Amino acid sequence: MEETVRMYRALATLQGFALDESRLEALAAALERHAASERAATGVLEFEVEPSSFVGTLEREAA
Amino acid sequence: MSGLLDCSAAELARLIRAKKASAREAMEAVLAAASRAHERCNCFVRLDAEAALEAARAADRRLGRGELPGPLAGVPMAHKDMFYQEGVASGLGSRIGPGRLAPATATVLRRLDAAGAIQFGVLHMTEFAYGPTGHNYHLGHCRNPWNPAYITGGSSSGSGASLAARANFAALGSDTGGSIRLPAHFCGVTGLKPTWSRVSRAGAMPLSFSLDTVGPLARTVEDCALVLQAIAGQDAEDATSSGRPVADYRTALEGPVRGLRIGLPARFFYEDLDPAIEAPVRASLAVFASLGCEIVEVAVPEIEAWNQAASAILAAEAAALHAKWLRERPQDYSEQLRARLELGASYTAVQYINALRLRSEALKKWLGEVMAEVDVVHAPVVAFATPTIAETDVGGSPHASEVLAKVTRLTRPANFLGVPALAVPCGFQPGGLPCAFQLIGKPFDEALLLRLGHAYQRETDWHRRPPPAGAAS
Repeated sequence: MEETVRMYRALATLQGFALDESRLEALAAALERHAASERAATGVLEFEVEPSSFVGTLEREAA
Repeated sequence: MSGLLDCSAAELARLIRAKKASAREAMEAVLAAASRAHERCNCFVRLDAEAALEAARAADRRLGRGELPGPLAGVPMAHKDMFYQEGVASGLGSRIGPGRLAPATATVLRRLDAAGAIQFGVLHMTEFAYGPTGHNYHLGHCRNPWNPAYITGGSSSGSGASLAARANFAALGSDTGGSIRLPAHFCGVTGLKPTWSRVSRAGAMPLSFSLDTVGPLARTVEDCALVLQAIAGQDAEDATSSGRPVADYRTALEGPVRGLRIGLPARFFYEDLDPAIEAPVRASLAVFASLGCEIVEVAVPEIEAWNQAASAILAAEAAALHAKWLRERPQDYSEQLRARLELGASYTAVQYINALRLRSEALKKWLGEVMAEVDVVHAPVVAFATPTIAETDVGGSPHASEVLAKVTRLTRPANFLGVPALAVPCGFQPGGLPCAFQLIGKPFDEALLLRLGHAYQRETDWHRRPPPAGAAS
């Protein structure tokens, strides 16, 4: 967690955002949760899937 | 006057067309009601009384000459304060919005204008539409007309509250994670989140390009159909708007519902429901069964990961949009919004892109595994009893994101999937606060949702019941 906090602080500074130190730990925890979720959910995605296929699916699958 | 305020938008339009009521008297009544409702609920940001009354008198003159200036002729409406009007600053529920004059009018406002509706004001909203409870640390929190100690839901907080208070006839809202359906549920009104790309977003404040939708809140399903009819369809100003033909939503209302299959999700949506919510939501299924619909239990895939992905898309896109102001004017954001935007700024490009890639796969899975067996899916809008404003006043505290995620847990999937969803009032919780269910449909199948919702409202009167103060308008 401490490593994520440090990385988070560095990322924010690099982008020019002033962070409130009291929120850092909670934000880093949220980021860790999201990262774990992304790894789990997208591990099964086919290599060729691209974001724009969403619109095609929406139109093609219309009732 | 109170008789007019109890009318739905469709009923009022019929009265005005038949010259049994004038647009002017409807406007005078709603302006007076709006002032009273605002005092109690803090639901309006601005009333444009003079211009609205002049527009109403002009509509009466046109009707008097035998002209029909659109299907919503003379119907007063106020909208969430995020739809731009040329030369006017939209507040966006923020400190930053009031300093920016809009270069052009939103397509949805122009279309409602062409349909004859008359805008008389703008409504309270969550700061930059990024929050599901109706709290606003700049404008003051919006209060629920059924009990002002309780939340209205957000981010279309004023839309829900003004309609419930009988101080508005229909309102535009936006739904990125539930912002139309949540106020509909908490305030006891009807709300439709259309398919992503069905309604133009040109001139509407963006929050998340990939998830934002614009749609109606109103007292009845019929009113939602009327408004959707006016605003749906391709728009050259919005490259993402769909070119698919727009259905005849009004005619669709009268279609039969017997034999339609309503999916009852075996998991996720009905898990851990508070009994205060479960009783009225399950009772609504019995109404559909009595109408001849078939209730079919459906297996539901893993949805939590979809909600996480939707949150990542929303957070990253919102952070990108707000990056400049977040650098230059961080003090002008509330602590809560600032914390959420800071989180969005830390997602990696890989996380963001993979969340978008997951979306198309999720939609295929949802349509192939769930919707293949049914016409719509029936679900609660939220899982818990309505909380008070104080209970959910989490500000920028460390646990804020968990509390807020809980509010949107059951609405966010429809945003991630891009599919339409209709929230319909279905009764009351033990404390007297309203409750709604949502019907989730197939892409571009708003007509079927409206048909089912209208059939339900013909059998019930939950949508007709005013809150204690609203009844006195």
